[in-house]
Amino acid sequence: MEKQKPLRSLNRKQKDLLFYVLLMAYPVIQFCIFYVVVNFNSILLAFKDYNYGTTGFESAGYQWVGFKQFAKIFTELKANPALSASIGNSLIVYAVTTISMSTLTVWFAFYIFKNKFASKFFRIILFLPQVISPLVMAVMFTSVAENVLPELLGKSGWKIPPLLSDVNTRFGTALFYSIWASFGTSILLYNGNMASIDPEVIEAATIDGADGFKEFLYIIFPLVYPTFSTFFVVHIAGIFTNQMSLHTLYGEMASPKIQTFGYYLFVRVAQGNLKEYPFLSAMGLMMTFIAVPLTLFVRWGMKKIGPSVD
Amino acid sequence: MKKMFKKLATCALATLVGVTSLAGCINVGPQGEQADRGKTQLYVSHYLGGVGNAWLTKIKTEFESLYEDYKGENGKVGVQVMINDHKQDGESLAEDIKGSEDEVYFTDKSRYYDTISTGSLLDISSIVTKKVDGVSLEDRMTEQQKGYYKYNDKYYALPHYESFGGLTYNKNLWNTKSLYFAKGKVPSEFSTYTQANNDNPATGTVLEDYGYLPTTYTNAAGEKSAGPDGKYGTFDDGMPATYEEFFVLCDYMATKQVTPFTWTGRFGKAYMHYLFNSLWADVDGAQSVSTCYGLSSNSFKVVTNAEVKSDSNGFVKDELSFENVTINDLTGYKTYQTEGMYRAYEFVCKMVSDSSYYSTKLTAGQSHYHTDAQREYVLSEFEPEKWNGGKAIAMLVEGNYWENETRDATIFNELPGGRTAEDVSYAHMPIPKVDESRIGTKNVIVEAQQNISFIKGNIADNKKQLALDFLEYCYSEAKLKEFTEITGVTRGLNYDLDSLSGVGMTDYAKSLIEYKKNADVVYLVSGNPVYTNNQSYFTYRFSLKGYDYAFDYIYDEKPTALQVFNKLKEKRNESTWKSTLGLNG
Repeated sequence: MEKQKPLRSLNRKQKDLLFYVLLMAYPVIQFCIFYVVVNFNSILLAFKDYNYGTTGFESAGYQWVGFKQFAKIFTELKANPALSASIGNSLIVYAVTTISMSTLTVWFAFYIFKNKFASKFFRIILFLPQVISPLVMAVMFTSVAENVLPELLGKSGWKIPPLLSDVNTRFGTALFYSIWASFGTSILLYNGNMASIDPEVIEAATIDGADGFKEFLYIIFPLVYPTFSTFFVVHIAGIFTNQMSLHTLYGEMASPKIQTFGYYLFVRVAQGNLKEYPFLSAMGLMMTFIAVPLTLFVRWGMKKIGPSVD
Repeated sequence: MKKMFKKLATCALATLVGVTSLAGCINVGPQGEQADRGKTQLYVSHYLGGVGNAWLTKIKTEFESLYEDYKGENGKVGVQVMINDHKQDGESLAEDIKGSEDEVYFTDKSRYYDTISTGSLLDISSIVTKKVDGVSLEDRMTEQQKGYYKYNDKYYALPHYESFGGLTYNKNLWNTKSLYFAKGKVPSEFSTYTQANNDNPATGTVLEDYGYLPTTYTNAAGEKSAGPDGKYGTFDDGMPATYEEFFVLCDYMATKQVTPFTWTGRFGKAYMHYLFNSLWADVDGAQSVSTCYGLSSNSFKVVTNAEVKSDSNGFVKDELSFENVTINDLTGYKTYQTEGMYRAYEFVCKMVSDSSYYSTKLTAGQSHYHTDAQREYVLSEFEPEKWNGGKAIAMLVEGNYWENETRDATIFNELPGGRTAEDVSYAHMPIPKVDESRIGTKNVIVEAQQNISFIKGNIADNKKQLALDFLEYCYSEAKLKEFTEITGVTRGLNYDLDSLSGVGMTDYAKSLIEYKKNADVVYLVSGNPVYTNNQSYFTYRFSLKGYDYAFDYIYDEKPTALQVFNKLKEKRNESTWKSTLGLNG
């Protein structure tokens, strides 16, 4: 009988392989079950319908219905203004987020990178949402926007409404919060990117007479462009999943007027039942069909138009 | 040495991770109760909401005592009921039942048909149909409930507690500010009363000004008007009998440093939904409401035309024209065109039309939770300056369980000047009638939440009978009554409310009992497959999932009732009804 090979007799390569397999097994299994299987099941669900059965459990269950759920989406789009409004809101959120992220975050990161006036203060304020629990942050922000600001400004004669409740200000305020809450991550990445730039390159540019603006335009921006374009593409990919932090701020009670598609879908799934899941799945899938080619196109475009590092 | 330290550190970390992840597996009951392995454990999942858990804790003690000699498997003797109080409602629990350790459930907001059709619930027909003293639990259900709960001739759940909502009023405030209507001083009884008493005949001037005359009102000791039931000497005496009287009272409150309402800003649409339901059902009646779910009627009254009459001062109802239509699966969309829905819009439109009608804190709605509304409502009576700009708040829009929630949130402990919960007194306000011609019509309670109790389908065979016994015990008549005495809330079954002791019950709880005694209860469910296959479409009548919330629209844009009515009519038209519900024909 062959003796079992003891672990000690494995060579280094085999040990490395064993270590790698053991290390990766858990996340890979998790990925397969909770991502691949779940998503595959969601895709299949879009072509099914649930029947509660009228003659017992035997007849209850999911049945294949082809593209019926996709056809229902168009009916719903026509009949349900909340759904069409949510798609419009998602596009607005995308536009504003992309513009602000592609301008303000890079500028702020550059400002902090250059250690300009109050840059440490900005760093703290902008990183605050990242280090404090999102729920705590949302409660604080809600309190400030709803009570503190109107009260304080009211005393100085400038009357402003509770910002998250008022019909005219709630969308803008929620959008502001959403951008602010994700500002820190972007700045952190840009900062890290900028910090890795060879100081000699910047020094050479300074010797050549480049001012701050030129330094940014000709040295910094081209070198952080890969990060910049990644953000651009990521935003496109998330266009229909961005919830604009509405669930954190409003729970499931956000007004239909300010809902984004991501929030709309999330809440409907959270409140949904077996009958509704296939329709919601079809809706998600349809948005993916729109978002995927758009993302690929933008990615291709960003590569084409990007500045050269040389 | 360094290697050894690394190994030790790794082991310590691994142990820590392992232990913390296993912490959730330790069997602990309420207040950290440990499982007694010498006894059989029965795990009970309980939604800890507005009715608290005192009723269940009492049952646990009694049941354990009754079953102390119960012989379980492996020589175990006795039963230990392990209560798992949580805040996960029935909707979110639905998919976890089979995999959960909990065996008996008391939930809020169920997804009954989802859970039955996936085999998550046990057939409990044996205890539902069993006669005890000649009455079964099935006998205690309404026909509408039987149609809903009976699935293929079997019962899988029982109604838990009834949740309905509306307006609560502060009895002490009504007394100290003299807000009760006086006998014979309101239009609904002015002429008959004055004639009967040879008093001055009603003049147009007096009728127009009646709301602002001090003689119109009285305190608790005075002679009060008959109220919406039209009978003197009943629980609703002195309450506004009509919409007109109701809003006259609201205007009068302003002269007495009183704000008429508050409600939660953050969950406003959900709580207003309760009020919408109550207003709608009160006008249309239980039969009509039931038809909206059963979808079967040969003569169903719908609005065909409306002439707007509303006025910015006071309340003048719109003039409506009607016709009778047939309701079936294909014409169900017409059930959204009833007078009750129109009048509900009229009432709520008027309520929110004037910001002086509601609390100042409501404008900052997102930071105004339901317990905030309860707190300002309770405390504004004693500290009006602190809580509502110097005005006490008269009414609260809430669910029938709000007083329990307030107690659990220790709000009564915040009463100033050493006051206790004994020093406050509230009552459920009966819904005023649309006009004088409807005074005396029966109240209608709308149970919209579908709170249910059940046993999980895959419970171990050796524990099935024990779980059935436990559920049966919880639904014995004595326990049904006890539940109401402890919580002030009724169970969703018919049982004798007249013999309740009333000991320890608050004025609010007593008023709810009185209200229920004089009301038809209607459940927003049916056994019609169009309903069972599309429950979510029917769930929120005035704030349909995925659709504009009627209350959002009213609060944000201040439309007329006709505009709201037409908006919903447009959304619930024949075409969308058929396509959304998958109906042909």
